[in-house]
Amino acid sequence: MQKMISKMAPKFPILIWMGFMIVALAFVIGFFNSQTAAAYFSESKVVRETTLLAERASIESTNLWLPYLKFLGLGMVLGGIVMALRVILDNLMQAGGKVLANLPADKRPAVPAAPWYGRLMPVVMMLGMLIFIFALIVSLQLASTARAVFANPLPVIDAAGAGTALLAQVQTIHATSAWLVPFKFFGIATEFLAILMGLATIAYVLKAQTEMLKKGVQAARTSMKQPKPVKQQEKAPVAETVAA
Amino acid sequence: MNASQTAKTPYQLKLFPILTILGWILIMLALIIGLVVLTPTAINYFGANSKEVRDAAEAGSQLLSQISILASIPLWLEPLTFLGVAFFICGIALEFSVIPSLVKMRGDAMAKAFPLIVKLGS
Repeated sequence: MQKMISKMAPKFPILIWMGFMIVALAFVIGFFNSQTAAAYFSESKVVRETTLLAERASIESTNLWLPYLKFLGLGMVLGGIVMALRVILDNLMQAGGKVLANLPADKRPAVPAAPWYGRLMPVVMMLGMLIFIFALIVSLQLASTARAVFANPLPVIDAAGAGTALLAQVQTIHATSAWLVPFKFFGIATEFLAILMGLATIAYVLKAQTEMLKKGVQAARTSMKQPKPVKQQEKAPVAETVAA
Repeated sequence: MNASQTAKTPYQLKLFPILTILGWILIMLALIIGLVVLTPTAINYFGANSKEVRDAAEAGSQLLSQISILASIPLWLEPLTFLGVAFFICGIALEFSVIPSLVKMRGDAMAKAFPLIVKLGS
């Protein structure tokens, strides 16, 4: 799985670009929604509440799903940043390996394993994306419920009594929005957590590579201080060397 | 090369997990309040009463206390989630701030290592 992620990570500009396009699209939709709202509120209250039902339904339903589309776009941009961090990490580790390859195999310090948070980073990023997609699906369902509610004149909606389907729909919209708003922030928090994990891994790798270089320098100095005849003896069996 | 230079963990790397956990706690708290407090209140308030009944609620009634919860809690809950996000961003900024010094340290180590590597290779 890690290999597959490493192969996919260099395509991070696509993810960032797609995310940006979604946010830009959300802005355009928001602009048109504002135009509908401006036209709607230019009419008298009686006309608005009894005649302009489609406009009201459009405004209310768009207000319900549009923020989640924006957050999906932002999530994709953040996901792209996580992937970019992964590319930096892969390159850092490859470069470290190349530097160490200059040392003889027996003098080469052992490369430490990647930390758990480094391996978990892409999984957390994908979890964040799933949260955004789930929130968008729920908000689209809510938007369709809102369309059904606001297809009725406002006095009819207001008159809906306990146990009616209309009141149940109003209840669904309010109750779901109550948890869906913090849920999208939970998605943002997950994406930020993935970025933090990536940065912490970069800091870890940089520190570990500095330590390894230090060990490499010590190993190189030790081997250079040894006189040449000793180097020839290295090929001889250990027992003979000890005996000599 | 100074050994203590690389062994010492910068304060930013010690501080960022605390900020991350704080951010996580605040955002989880907001989600839990949304799920446990606001959602059941909205279900009770909107589900069982028509607008006429809701509008006729008098001071001290359960309906008014419910609408008071629904109107007031989101007013501080949203800033709280943004505070959580701000904690995360501060953590990211701290991590970014430590990277240049780590790269510099690595550069110093590389500068010392490179001549030796060249000598060893020749």
